Amino acid sequence: MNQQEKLMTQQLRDKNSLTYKKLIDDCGDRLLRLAFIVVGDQQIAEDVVQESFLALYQNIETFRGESSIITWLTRVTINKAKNVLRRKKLKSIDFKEGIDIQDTSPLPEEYLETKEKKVKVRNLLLSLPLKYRDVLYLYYYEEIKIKEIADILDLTESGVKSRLKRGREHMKELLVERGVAQ
Amino acid sequence: MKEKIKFDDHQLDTKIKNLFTEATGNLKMDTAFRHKLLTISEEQRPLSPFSRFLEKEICLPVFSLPAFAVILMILIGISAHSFLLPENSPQPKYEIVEMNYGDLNMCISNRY
Repeated sequence: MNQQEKLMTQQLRDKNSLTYKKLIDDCGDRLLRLAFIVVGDQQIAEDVVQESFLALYQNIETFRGESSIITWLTRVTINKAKNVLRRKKLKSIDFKEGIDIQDTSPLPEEYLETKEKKVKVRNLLLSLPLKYRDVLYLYYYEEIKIKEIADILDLTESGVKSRLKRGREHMKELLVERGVAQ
Repeated sequence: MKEKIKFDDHQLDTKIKNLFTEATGNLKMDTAFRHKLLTISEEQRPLSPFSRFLEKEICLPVFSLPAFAVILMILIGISAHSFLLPENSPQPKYEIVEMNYGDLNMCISNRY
């Protein structure tokens, strides 16, 4: 942990509200997207992120500093999201977008097509096994280095590389199977 | 016949990233949620070691309810068997020896 991170940890322990705000601004959106990728539901993802920050506030005094705060938060968010899945025994969740069923006016075709495509994409991602999904997301979307991914997921670097390789192969099969155009 | 879609490595990498971007692109915290997270930081107190222990989640692997029920019934059956009263308890064997009063006195006087 470098000096900047040590300072941030100390400020968080001192309940510095500006530091908390900066932390929320820096990584809140990222954690929300990560939780969403795991659980597939925005509301549940928000609850997961809230629980993660709550865990940070409750345990900041005992934070040992073996990794950075953001890495710790990311790890906690993934674990809490996985716990939600385990508890609810949700293996795959179809993306549900709020539709006002009272509104019976015809929707524009373009809007329907975009919505359908979004649902298709999300269902495709959620059908990827979780152990590949989180690694692929952290590597390709968040562009995190393999060493940090290993730290977040509590794996070895070779374990991360192995999952990335198998995840890519699995994704390739899914894309070909579902005929997803480039 | 459907043309088989092929991906080279670079195309696949780009495709994976685009898929995640499409899935999560619009997702952001709104102001109300941000405010909620900030409010938690002000209200929350650090947990005591005992509270931390109580809040720890322990996952116990329980394979399935029917299997668990069967095992439970077997255990109850085994322990219930030990509480059953025996139907035919072996009767103690008594041998009634008839002795004359005179013989008994003679035995006693011979001794002393």
